[in-house]
Amino acid sequence: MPRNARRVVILYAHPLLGEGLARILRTDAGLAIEAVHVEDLQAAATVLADAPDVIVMERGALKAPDILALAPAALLIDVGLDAGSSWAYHRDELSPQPEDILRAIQGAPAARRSRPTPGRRAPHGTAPVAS
Amino acid sequence: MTAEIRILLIDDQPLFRRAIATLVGDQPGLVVVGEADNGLQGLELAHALKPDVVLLDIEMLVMNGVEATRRIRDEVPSAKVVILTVSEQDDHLFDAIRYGAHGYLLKDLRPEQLYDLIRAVMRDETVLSPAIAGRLLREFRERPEGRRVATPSAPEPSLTRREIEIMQLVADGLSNKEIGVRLSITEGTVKNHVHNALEKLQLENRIQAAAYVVRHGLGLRLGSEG
Repeated sequence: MPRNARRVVILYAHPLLGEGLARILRTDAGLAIEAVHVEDLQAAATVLADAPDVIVMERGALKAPDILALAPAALLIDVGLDAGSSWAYHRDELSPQPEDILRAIQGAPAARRSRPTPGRRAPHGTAPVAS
Repeated sequence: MTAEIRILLIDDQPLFRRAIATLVGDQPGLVVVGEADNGLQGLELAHALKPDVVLLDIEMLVMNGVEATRRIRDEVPSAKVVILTVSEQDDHLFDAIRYGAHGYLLKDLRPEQLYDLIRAVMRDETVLSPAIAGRLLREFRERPEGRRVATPSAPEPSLTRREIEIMQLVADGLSNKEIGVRLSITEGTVKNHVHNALEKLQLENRIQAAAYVVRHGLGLRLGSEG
């Protein structure tokens, strides 16, 4: 495995999804994959202690803000068993100044302004990705 | 050499579908021959591909898994239909069984369990997640006047003592192999008895047989010895 491989941690509740996704991603030599069945935040905290580059999280028991708090530098991708969107949470850090917030909103690329799935609100700083 | 088990995946979550296809496709003796993201597309592929096993989600647009089960069992009867879903809704469960599903699995399985269950359904075994099996049997114990899974015609069919014995073990959730060990007979003999009993009871599969035995208790009338 390359020394500069990107470290990806998959936190899953459903083994078929988590282990299947790990199997898919392991075909990419540039990624170092660790897939872990976790049922609570405490277990996730242990896994994330080594600060992975990317976290793929199965939504459900785990919530994105909690995971981002544990690994703020990571790109977080939130996936689910439903047919709706997956979400990529970007690591943009903003100051709480209104001007900074406005500038970030105005500078958002068009793709990020796509409408979320009906019935679900887009979390701040996120963009849907094909799942 | 044992023939490969050809599998059709029908699920509207493409990431989950790809995950299953990748896992299953790596297993010796199992091959994914097609994928569809709704029941109607799945039905068309079932006609075209004649899979051995259809793994089918329930909640999908265009045609849901319950209706797809009915159509596939009716139009491609050689295919074994196994529901693979997050849905534990009673309506889905009972309708799928009524329409002839060979199994009802929840998506919380481990991959190795799924591989084993796919192989088991090809041995004519019932495949149910434990939570589903419990719910199914409880339904028929507690609600004798409730929904009927099967409606065998009167008068009550005559089963041999051996067939009754085996049907009771089927209702207990034993596989053909386990029944064979229990009764000191071969798995093939068990399979023949199960086949004959299902035919006499006008039932389509072991799930319906289990429900029938639970509903009728020991009241099956003995026929000639066999």
